[in-house]
Amino acid sequence: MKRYIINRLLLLIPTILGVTFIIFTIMSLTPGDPGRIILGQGAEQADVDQFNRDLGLDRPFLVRYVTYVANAVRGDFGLSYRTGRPVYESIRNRFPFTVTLAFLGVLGSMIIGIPLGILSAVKQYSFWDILGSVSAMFLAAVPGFWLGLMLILFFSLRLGWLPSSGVGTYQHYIMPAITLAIPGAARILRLTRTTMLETIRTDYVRTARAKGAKERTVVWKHALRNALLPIVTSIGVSFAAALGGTVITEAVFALPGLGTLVITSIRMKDTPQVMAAVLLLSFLFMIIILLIDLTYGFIDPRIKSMYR
Amino acid sequence: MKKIVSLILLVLLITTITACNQNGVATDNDQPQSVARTDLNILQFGDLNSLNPVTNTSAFEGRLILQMFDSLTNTSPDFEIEPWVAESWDISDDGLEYTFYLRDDIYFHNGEKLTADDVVFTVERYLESPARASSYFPMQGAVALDDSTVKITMNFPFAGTLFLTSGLYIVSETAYTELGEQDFNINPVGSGAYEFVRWDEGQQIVMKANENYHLGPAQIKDLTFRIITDPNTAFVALETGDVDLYTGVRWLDFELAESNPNLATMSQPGVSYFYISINCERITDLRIRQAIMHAVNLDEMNIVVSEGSGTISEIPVLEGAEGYTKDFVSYEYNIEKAKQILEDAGYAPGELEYTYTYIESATNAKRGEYLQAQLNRIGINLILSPMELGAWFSSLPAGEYDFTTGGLTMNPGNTEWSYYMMFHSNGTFNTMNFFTEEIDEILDAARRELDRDARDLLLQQITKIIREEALYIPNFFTTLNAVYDKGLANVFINPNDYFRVHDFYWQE
Repeated sequence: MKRYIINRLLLLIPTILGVTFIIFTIMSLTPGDPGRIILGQGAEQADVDQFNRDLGLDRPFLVRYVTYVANAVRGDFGLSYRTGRPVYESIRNRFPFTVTLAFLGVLGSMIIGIPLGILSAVKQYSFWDILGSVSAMFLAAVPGFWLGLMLILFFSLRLGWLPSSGVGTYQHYIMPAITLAIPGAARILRLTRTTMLETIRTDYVRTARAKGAKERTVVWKHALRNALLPIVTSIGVSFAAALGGTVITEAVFALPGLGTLVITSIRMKDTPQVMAAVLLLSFLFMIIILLIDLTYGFIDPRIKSMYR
Repeated sequence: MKKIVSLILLVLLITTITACNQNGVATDNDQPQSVARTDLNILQFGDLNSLNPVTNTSAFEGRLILQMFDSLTNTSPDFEIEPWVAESWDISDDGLEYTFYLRDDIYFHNGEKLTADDVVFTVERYLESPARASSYFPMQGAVALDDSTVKITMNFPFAGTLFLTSGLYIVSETAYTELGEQDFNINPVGSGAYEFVRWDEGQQIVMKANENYHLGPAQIKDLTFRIITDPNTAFVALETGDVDLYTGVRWLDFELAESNPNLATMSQPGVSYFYISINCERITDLRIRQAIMHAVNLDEMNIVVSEGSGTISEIPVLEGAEGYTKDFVSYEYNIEKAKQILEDAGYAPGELEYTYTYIESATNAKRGEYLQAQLNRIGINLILSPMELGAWFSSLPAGEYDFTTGGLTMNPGNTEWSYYMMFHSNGTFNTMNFFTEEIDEILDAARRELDRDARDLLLQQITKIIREEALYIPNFFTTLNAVYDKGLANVFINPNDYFRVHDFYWQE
């Protein structure tokens, strides 16, 4: 088990290097000139060139890349071209909002998706099942920005219950979390239903019923625990994806998260800022995936025995 | 297990609902308030890079800087120069030396007095700053003659000097030196009506009234600029009262605001002029350019691009502005005439094919599609080439386009500055690439001409030439739509979106 974890952690190094190389290449290949963007259209070309030289942009691509990696290894991720300040400042300011939002969003989709999925499976082809499937299809198709706006129009403008935008109190998170949770809930609902249906038909569930276990015990203890594996994977991946994929929700609710930072920085050709943010996100993504793999062991002892 | 889950769900549900009912942020727009408010929330469309007047580059940072800093002189709403930090000034006969006499009752937010040394320090920072150098290059330097007298020396007699000093926001030398430029960018210290409190990245910039302001403390004590980047969300925030003032409202939202009894509206021509540049190094034949002029219906384009909200103008200056004249070549909309010009010039339909490059945006795309349709009617094929901002900037110096979008802020009292940028061969935003000695000479002369009427005449010549040579397809001046809470009084917003919150107050 320990060896497995160490192996996985070591594998992070080449993956992260690969990620840095890809982003760095893309940022370098796309046209655009940070000096011009930052100094504005009124600046003299000579000043723009000097600005770019100060950033070291006149050096060859590989030299810049190797310098970047060498500095990053020492913990120096550079200064943002846009603000001239260390890139970790912006990330530190924005990261908590993104994590909170992603966590609440995934939590919300679990709370909605899993119980409804179980209900749909246990009462297959009933009214509830059809209602669940139809609403899941509908919810999965709803675009986030539209849903967000509708929530704002109803709860902020019409009823005046919730603040329409910004951060500050926990109330500010309710609507963004729902907006993020709804499409995820639909996905989890369908997944839960499918896997539950499979497990319900297995021999051991039939055995459990045959030995006279209560229906509740059969569903929750025998069927659900075995159906949980793909759901846990899906939830973990959803969480990891939500960390980098909340841009639209952030924009609609004016939340100062990482997604907005990345988009702004890409537009401004702010390579160090983009690199740092994407590195953090991909690192977290890999760690989360690793954690998911490890939780398999606890959920399913058969898998634990396979780690060596 | 099932019970536990249901219980948790129930508890969550109840806490959410009760919490909302207890201290929900109910909008109390409808209820008259007994005590006048002393706070104001202004919508800020996008996050900022710097609040330091030395390094900032965008107009929407400028309007925050205006609240926190005082400039040496000031440009009034009708574009006259008036005293501000300097209460008076002398100009030497050769126009090279300006002596400013400063007020002695101005204090920075850190409690120190604003002196001549701070002005000299500010001038030096401006001259060093790449963001400022292209505007401030006529200035050579400044010296303090005593605590309250500053002499600014020019490199050559420059007509716009007092406009330059109106943009010279005095920074505190002590604070700037102690903090260093990078930290001053996010912790500005000025002497203006509002003092910087904090900047929550991506959320808001908070300021409080300066109780020692030299024009008296503002009535609005707590000022917040709230950052919202989505226009729909921004408008809802206005409707719910989360923000009180929003300038640059979209036309569709503006119409909604006009029918909202809680909101006051204000609409005026702005100062941003939009046009489509023709790259004259590629489209060298004047007859083609003239044909293109006749092929475009400015009214239609205004409707297509901005729902008819723009103020159409064939020239980049509005009546009353420097360089305005009625006497220029106007090209009426006439497709047949356009076709005839091309035919006479010997171009067969379909022979000409051009590319239009623009920064990717919905408005620019509509502009491109309209132009494409119109040019197609006179037998010219147009390829649309949308680009990212950075790529578009890089395409300009290389001249890799036939048409490209142009947009520039025109200062009605100082047209010379914009004309130089747009049309001089050294201009930093000359995207038409039409270089003649005549234009350069006129603009050089205007730059040095101190007499306003004479300068006006020189600029009128430029206005005539640029139409005669058909250098660009005119669009319009954008309209500046402002919406604010009806309770807010004495709101005045300049066409360039600048305003002084110091003057505003809430009615009871």
